Formats: sequence, structure tokens, C-alpha cells
Amino acid sequence: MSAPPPAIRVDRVTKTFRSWESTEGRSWKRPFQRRRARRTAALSEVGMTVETGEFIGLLGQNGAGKSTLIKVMTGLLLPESGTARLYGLDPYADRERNAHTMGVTFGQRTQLWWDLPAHDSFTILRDIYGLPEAEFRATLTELNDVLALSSFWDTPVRFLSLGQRVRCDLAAALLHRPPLLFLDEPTIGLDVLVKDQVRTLLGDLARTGDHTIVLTTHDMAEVEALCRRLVVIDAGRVVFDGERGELAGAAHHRRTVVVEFETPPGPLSLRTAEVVSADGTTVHLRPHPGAEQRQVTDELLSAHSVRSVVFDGTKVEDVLRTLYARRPETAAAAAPTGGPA
Amino acid sequence: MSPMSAMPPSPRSGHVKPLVPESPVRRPVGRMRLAAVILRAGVRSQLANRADFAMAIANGVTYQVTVLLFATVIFGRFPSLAGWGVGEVLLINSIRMLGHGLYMLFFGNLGLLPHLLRDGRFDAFRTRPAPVLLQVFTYEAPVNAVGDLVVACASLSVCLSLLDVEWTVGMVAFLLAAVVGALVIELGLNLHIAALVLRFRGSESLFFWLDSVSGTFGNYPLGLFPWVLQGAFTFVLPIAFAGFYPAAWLTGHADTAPFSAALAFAFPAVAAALLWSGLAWWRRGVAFYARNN
Repeated sequence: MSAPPPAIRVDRVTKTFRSWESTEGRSWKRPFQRRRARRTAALSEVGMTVETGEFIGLLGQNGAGKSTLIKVMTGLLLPESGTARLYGLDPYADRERNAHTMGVTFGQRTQLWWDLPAHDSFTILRDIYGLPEAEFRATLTELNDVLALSSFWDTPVRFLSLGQRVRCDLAAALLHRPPLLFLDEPTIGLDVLVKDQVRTLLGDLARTGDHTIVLTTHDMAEVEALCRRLVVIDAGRVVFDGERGELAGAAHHRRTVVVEFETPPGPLSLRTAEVVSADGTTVHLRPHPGAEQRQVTDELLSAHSVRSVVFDGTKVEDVLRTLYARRPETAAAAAPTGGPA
Repeated sequence: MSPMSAMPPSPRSGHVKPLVPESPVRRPVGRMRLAAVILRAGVRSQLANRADFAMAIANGVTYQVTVLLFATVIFGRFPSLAGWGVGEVLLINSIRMLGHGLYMLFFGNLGLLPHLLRDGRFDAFRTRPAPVLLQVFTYEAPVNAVGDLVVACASLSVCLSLLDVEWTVGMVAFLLAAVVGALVIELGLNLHIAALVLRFRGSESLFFWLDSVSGTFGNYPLGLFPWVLQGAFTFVLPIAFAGFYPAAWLTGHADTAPFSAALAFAFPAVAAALLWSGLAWWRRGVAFYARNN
């Protein structure tokens, strides 16, 4: 008996987009001059394998190629060369069959019916996916328990706030209980409370070991809370594919905490962090390796009157900057772009 | 324990290849049911705001009434147009408008394609287990089509009261077929435009252009126009088959129709060819979109 195919297999995928070179200067001939076409690589020979149950963070700067890769994996975009397979199926050619196995969200773009209440959208999706009524109701109840949807799901989607809409979109993507989730920046622009709700849901799904989740985000706290494996894309290439600790640890020494005390705190001695500098009521700290944000905050609040605590260097961009700073070794480590088995 | 953590494993997942059942909307009955569900929900949501609902219907009525008023002005000055009386011309008008109203009711959301592309909804359609075209057609309840149909029915009843025609069963069947033909011709032409929109975003104004050309030229006898336009509306943009040619046979004007009297019977073939070609263009347009967007 052959081994089951992995949840996702991307093999040497290349995708380019055509753009036109603009001609210099002003001339009446300009509209009649032939412009030269130029092809920009969005993905170059990208490869990775994601097994069932993995939760991976797909990271990269804006324009690095993350969304293009998600579009290729979901069958929305055809690569020029290479292949993408979901459970062994071609996501473009087997679009309708694949749709049963995956749930997708696209950042702030809603896939709900704009003029209808969100609950009506759920009902329509129930019919599209052919869900039995009892299964549909049970899933919706569970989603409502985590995302607190019922207070606004009778409101037309166009009147929902961003946070409410994102929660409804996430519920819509999960209604048919897909084993494979593609979440393209699902928490962008959300407030802390809604972010927490979304993270709780994703964490719960990951713990079942039953869901394969691909998450793109710019929030390092989210990555640290959820993803064990990270894939970093830069200029269309995979420049890192490995365990989260390896990459997050690399950036750790850059992380600082800016604390604003009510009154000058005097000489500080902390278990979780060292003092970098102090100026009146403002103190810069660097957490010790292994110290979590919560532990640092707890220690500060338990012994001092603190006006604010700001963690710096917690964005994905900070980690990426660190990665690029040590690029020669990283590039060497990431040279074979196939994912771990 | 959070409720979602207690969520049982998906029946379609696990460490084996997931089962991928056939979606119910792949079957025609499933598609009709889905369309009915969306339309019902759409009408309900539009009815929630009575003013929006009334405005949507009024828009449809206003546009078609403007077309009819213009025709009335023409008839006020010229009682006969290229040998056609008022009732006969109104029959051309009625066939076209009924076809157009039905097109708007069932397929009019195709004109929303540029908006669906811009908002990313078209991509969402392609991640669901249902035909993309069906999801476009049923995206929202086309309430303003009700206005179009009301005016079209009024036009037909006025036309029938003016016409001196003895209606046989065959003629009634021919009239119904002509209305369906007009609907399919409009669908076929709009599918070609939709396929172009998938390739060239700048081509979305062609939807309005087609609507305007049909409303301006499609309501009158072809003999009124110079031969270049007669040829264009017969062989290039065949809107004459969505009103004029079938009406020519029903009113006994087939012999004086441009090019050939046989063209009065050609509308089913023209409609079928346009639909076939439109669907082929659409499929190629979607493939182009998947390669380039």
C-alpha cells in the first residue's frame, strides 16, 4: 500500500508577471513607440511539502511572493512551470473536488454576500457544500461559541465592522470542516480582542492535529503563538524553511522593552530582563533568552507602578531583518528548498 | 476546554486522502435549488429596505419607459416606419424587452463581473465547489429586472391590442421561442464581453455599450438603417435576431426583410451559436485569468 500524499506538495513552482518598461522623457512619439515587455519573477523554483496536521507560518515582506504562492496552492493561479498538489490533486484542474478539502480567507477581502446577513451567507454555503442540516447547525454552534457571532450575524455584511466581518469570514471558511486551511493575513487591521479570538480558534484547530494550516502574517507574536514551522519567502524564493525557534531565536537579541514608570525606578534588578539604558522614568530592557513577554510584564507590574510597557522588535519584519543580516549562512542553510519530510 | 478543541475530526480529513464528495450543485436540480436559495435571500434582504427595493424596480421601469417614450415621439412624427405600423414596431420592441428582462432576471449579474473581480469575490467563487458562472449569475437578487419585465409586458399588451393578427398556436409558440431566443442572444453576447473583461479590464464599458446599442437600434425595423448597419446588426452584432427578424415573420414582413426572408427563422441557430461561442470564450477567459492575475 502506497503512502498517502502529503496535504500540500509544491514542486519547483515558477511564476512571472509581465510588465511594461516606461519610456523616458516627453515626446509626441511616445504613444507610438513600442514598449519593451519585462517579466518579473513572483516565484522562482519554489518547493515545499506540508504534511497533514502541520501549522506553518508563511512569512515575507510585502511583495515577496506569499500571496502568489497561496494563490498557486489554492488553484487560483497557474504557474508557468512546476506543480502544486493538495492531497495529490491538482488544485486548478480538480478545482471543485479540492474545494471540499480547503478553506480560504483573503485578508480584508470578504467572501460573504455583501447585501445579505452573514447568517444567510452561511446558509448559502451550506447548500453549496451540501452539508447535512444537523452537521451545519452543530458546526455553526461551535464556531459561534468561539467567535461570538450570533449578536451580529443577522446584520447585512456591508454594515459589519472589520472585526465582525473577519470573524464571519473565518467561520465561512470553516463551516464545511475543511482539513486544509489557507489564511492570508487573517488578523490584519484587527483589534487585540478580536485577534485573540481568532488566535484561540486557530490554536484549538491546530491542537486537534487534524488540520493543516498555512498562515501568512506580519505579526511575530501570532507566529510564535501558533506556528511551529516557518517558511520565509524573499523575492520569490524560499530563503528559510525550518523550525520557528531557529529563526525567532536569531532575532531575540534585537528585542527590547520600553517601560514607562510612574516615577524614576532607581537601580533595577530583574530576573527576566537586563537594563540597557535608563533615562528618568523611561527604561529600556532586553529580555533574557527564554523569557516570555508575559513573564517580563508580570515581574514589572508586581513590583513597580508602571504607566506603559512596549515590546519592540516583535514584528515579523524585525525577524526578517535579522535573517537578512546573517544572509550568507541562511542562504546556505536554505539552499535546498524542499520542506522537511 | 474550548468548544472548538472538542470539534471532532473532520470526516473528510485524517491521515488518509480525504474523501471529496460530489457537490450537490453539480446536478441541475442542485443548481436550481441554490439559485432559488440565493434569490430568496436576496429579495428578503432588499425587502428589508423598502426604499432600496422600490428604487431598484423604479430604475428598471424608468430606463425602459424612456426607450418607449422615444419610440412614441418617433411614431408621433412618422406613423409608419419602413412600412411597419405602430403595433408591428411595438412587437419588435416587446420581443427584445421581454428577452432583455428575462436575461436581467436570470443572468444580469454577469454585468457585475468587473466589480466581482475588483473586490476579489471572483477568486472566492473559484475556491468553492460550485460552477463559477452559476455563482456569478446568482450573486444577488436582480430586483430591477422586475421593472424591465413590467414595462415589457405592458408594451406587449399594447402591441397585441394594436396588431391585426390572427394568433394560431404555432404563432404563439414562435413568439415564445423568439423571446427565449432574444434572451439567449443577449446572454451569448454578454458572455463574449465577460470573457474580454477577464482578459482586458478596460473592456467593461462594453456591457453598457451593448445595452445602449440594443436599446437604440434593436427596437426598429432593420430597413430604416443604411445597408452597413443592416449588415452589422445581422452578421456582426446580430441583435436583429433578438426582435426584428422573428417579428418580421409574425407580422408578414419577412419578404421585405434585408438579405433573405429565411433569416426570420434563423434566430434559434444564431442564439445557439452565440451561446456555444460565448461559453467557449468564457472558459478561455477564465484560463487566461488564472495564468495572468
